[in-house]
Amino acid sequence: MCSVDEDEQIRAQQRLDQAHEAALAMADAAEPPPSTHGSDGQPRPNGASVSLAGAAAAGRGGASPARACVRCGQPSGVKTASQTFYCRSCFDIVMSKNTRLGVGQLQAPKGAGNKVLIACSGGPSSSLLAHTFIGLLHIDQATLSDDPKAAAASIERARSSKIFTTAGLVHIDESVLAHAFSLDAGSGKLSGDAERIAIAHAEREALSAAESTEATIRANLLTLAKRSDSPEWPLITARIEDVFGSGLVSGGGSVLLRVPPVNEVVLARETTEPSPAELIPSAASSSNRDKFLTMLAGVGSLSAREDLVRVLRLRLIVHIAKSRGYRYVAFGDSADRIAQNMISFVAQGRGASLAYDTSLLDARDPDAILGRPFRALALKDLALYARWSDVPSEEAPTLASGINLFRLWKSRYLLRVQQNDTTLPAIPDSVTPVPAWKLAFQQTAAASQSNQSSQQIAASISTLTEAFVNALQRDFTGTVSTVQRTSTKLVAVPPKDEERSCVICHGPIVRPVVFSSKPAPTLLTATASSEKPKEGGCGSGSGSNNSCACSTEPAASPIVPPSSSTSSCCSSSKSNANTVPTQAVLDATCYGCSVILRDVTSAGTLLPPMVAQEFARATSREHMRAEISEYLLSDDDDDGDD
Amino acid sequence: MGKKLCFRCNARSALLRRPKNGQPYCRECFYDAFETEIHTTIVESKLFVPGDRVAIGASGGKDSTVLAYVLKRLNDMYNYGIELFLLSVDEGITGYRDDSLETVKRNEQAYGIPLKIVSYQELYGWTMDAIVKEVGLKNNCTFCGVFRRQALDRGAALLGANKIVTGHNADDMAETVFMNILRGDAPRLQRCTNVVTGSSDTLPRCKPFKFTYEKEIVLYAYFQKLDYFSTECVYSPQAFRGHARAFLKDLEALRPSSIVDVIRAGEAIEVVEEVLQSTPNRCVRCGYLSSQSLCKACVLLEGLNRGLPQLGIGREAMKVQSELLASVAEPASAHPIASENTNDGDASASASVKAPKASRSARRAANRHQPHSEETLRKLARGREVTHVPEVDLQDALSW
Repeated sequence: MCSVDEDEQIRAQQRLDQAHEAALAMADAAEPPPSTHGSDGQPRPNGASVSLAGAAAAGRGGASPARACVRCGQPSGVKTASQTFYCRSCFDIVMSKNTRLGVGQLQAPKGAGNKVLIACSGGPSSSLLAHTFIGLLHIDQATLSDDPKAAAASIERARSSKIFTTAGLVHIDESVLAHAFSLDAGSGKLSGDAERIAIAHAEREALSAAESTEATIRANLLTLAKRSDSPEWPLITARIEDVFGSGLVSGGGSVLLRVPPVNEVVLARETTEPSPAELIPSAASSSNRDKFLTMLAGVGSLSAREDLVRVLRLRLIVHIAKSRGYRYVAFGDSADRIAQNMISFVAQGRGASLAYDTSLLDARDPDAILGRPFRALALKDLALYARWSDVPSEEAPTLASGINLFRLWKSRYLLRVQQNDTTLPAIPDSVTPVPAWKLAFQQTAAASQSNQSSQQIAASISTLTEAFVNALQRDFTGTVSTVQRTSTKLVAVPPKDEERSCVICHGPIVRPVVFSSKPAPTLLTATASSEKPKEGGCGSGSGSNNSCACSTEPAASPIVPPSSSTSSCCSSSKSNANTVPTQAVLDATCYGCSVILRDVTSAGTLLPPMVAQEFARATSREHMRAEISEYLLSDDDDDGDD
Repeated sequence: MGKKLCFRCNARSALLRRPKNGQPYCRECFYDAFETEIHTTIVESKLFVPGDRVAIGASGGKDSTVLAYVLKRLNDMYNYGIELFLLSVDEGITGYRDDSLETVKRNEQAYGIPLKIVSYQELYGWTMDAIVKEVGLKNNCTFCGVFRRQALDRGAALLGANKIVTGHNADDMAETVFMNILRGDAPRLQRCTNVVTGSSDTLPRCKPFKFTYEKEIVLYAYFQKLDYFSTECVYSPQAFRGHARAFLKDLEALRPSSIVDVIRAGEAIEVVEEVLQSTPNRCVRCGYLSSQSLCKACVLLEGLNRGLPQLGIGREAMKVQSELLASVAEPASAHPIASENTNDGDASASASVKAPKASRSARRAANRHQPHSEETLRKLARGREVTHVPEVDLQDALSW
């Protein structure tokens, strides 16, 4: 039931839009006698219900008799995700209250001058979050006195009564991913010129679509940011490939020394458009792009690619927040998103950090506290309320949906090419050498031919989970809220030792309970086979004897350390003296990130410098610790040694 | 490409592709890798000590058949020094359990492991066939799961066993992780990935197949030509779990390591203290371990015997509980389990359940009557929010 259906995949967005429209039409008609036609065109009695996310629910709801708004008794126009009926104005009131309550739950000390950065993907949920903050931070200018000094004082007073004094928007531009949509299209079995041309057309279309989507998102966010009455609400945009920027590497401690290469638009009230120059990528960006895409290409599976992008995006956002003095970062994760994450994170081995990743407040890092104020609100309700509140939204495709879009485009172009369609624009001959990352993609795709490339529909663990949760929600309403509430029962265990946090995602590293001194069983599978049968597996102490799991592990580690301080246990078998033994890297990552590393197929894959730097730091701390271990009095467990 | 060589020994030609990692293996290496991993699980988590009397929950299905075979083999190979028994529960399901029990009996002969069969009929006075006639096909798995849990313990006690091993495999465990998340059952989410479950008062239940893939079990059984019974239970609709199962299969197809990843994630999950179990208690009626004053089996059984089978399910359970509690002023009861247990002095020596304790806990429970029903109320309130799923852990209703 949760195999990914093509129509589902490709038309998901479309359907959502249609549902939006239908809802809107409904709403407009709701105040005078309600419409008798629902979103699916079926005649309905008065007060027909509208369902956004679950199309099936809408179909079922159509049979229900007229329901009155539970709040005012008027004919209802909305059925919320929790099957409650409201009229439009009551829905607005309730949602306005709920969204504000959600933000109010971020229990920051009042008047502490807290700055909050709102992470905006451009989607309805995060855009609505920005909208909510704008409403909350609003200070009514009309009540201010004419005296500028007194006015300033009363603004100050008003602000000090609020949790957050000022906010900013951050958006991570992931249009670079469009390059990766065609990742396996050009590998191997090309049927001929026609297909090559079709691919070129589709690539062009993917890139231009990504660009225009980004432009729309940025315009939407600018529109939003300008609605704030405070002139200093910035919209900060950074490109995901900027994780490779040298500016992101911190100095010795946790202090960030250099300014990150991000584009920032500070909105003065009168500015209507950002000057184009501010949005042009820096010169370094194109090389960052190549590095980023090469990294992605080296990761063999779509799931691991998506997870890696997610982790790096989060780190980039946190970095931006810290370097700009924002102590809080707010995310627009809805209940649906939390439920999906609960499942997909578990599916990817991320149990240790699950409590943090789904919590209302993640205060592991006191300098960058992450909040998810909408975690209890259904996506359907949020999307509808965003629409009605005139909050613009536009979502960029994910890797998986982009790949599927790309395949659709490709097949369409192939048809046109085969029919000798003369209206097709000319494709410039590929004079430029093929970029390295493109070759890398093709190699990876050829190597893993058994897996994704042969599938009709590209599916990743996260798309699979999304389909699974949505299908369950359709059949068993209450699934999302139950799973979301499960997340509140989890407890976030702070890592015992500060050093034991993952160098990639900063999540806690929990050693497996059973195989405390052995590699994880998946590795064990590999090692049990490369070793003599009676041995359990490779002795897993970091860097001891080891014929470490190299034979089946990624051939080389995806990290090149900035310094040569690390010795390699496999240096004899490795030509490159700079590579770090895979086992050592695995020791410094949490289970979930080691799952990503396990899928690294290409030897030349490099993770961003900030990861490498952190690894070097962790390694040197580990060495220091080993050196002074006899003087340390703590009797806690020294796991990792065997 | 020609013939592929075994990934492991690189000498013999490969016979199969290992589900866990997709690598080609020859027969010998597959056997060895398969057994070594189970051995590693047993050794690492110190499942057995010499002299243990281990009851293998044997359904005749693939998991328990392979488990019996492999445990016997490993016991001989590595000198665990444990004594093995086959323990089967006859639920009384015509066309399913009667056939599978024949398989178990053949296994008893083939492996030379003594077999004990306990039946719902003798323990509870009801067969599943009769129960289904009463309750229909909606909540029947609730009855079966609850009854089996106790039946296994009773049977093990009769065998004088001090440990129970079950054939729960990695797929089952991963699925249970998802089920508990989907149901919002935090306490079970916490403990469902333990390789050994059971508190100090019950027999430990071990899962040596915790990291063993279902597909590998089938492969192993196939190549070893093991005799097992493979039919779905005729009464199992399991709609909700079916979704989780299908999802897991999709995950596995996408990334074979997913199953272990899920278990690893499950192990690392910590649950808030206060949602964890209340203090373990004993059923005032039969003396079986229970979080409530009355164990679930007694409540369900009472409903059946009164001809009101839905009594034990959902919000009605509360009423029955308090009624029954009131009626258990004197611990003497018509419950077949309690009487059987008091009669069987030998078995109860090592058994977890002793009748005399029941009267003591009855007094305790009587004193604590009020707080208990409040807690039950809360639990039921929570249960109501999750209306689409049964309250009982159906893990035991699966194959074992």
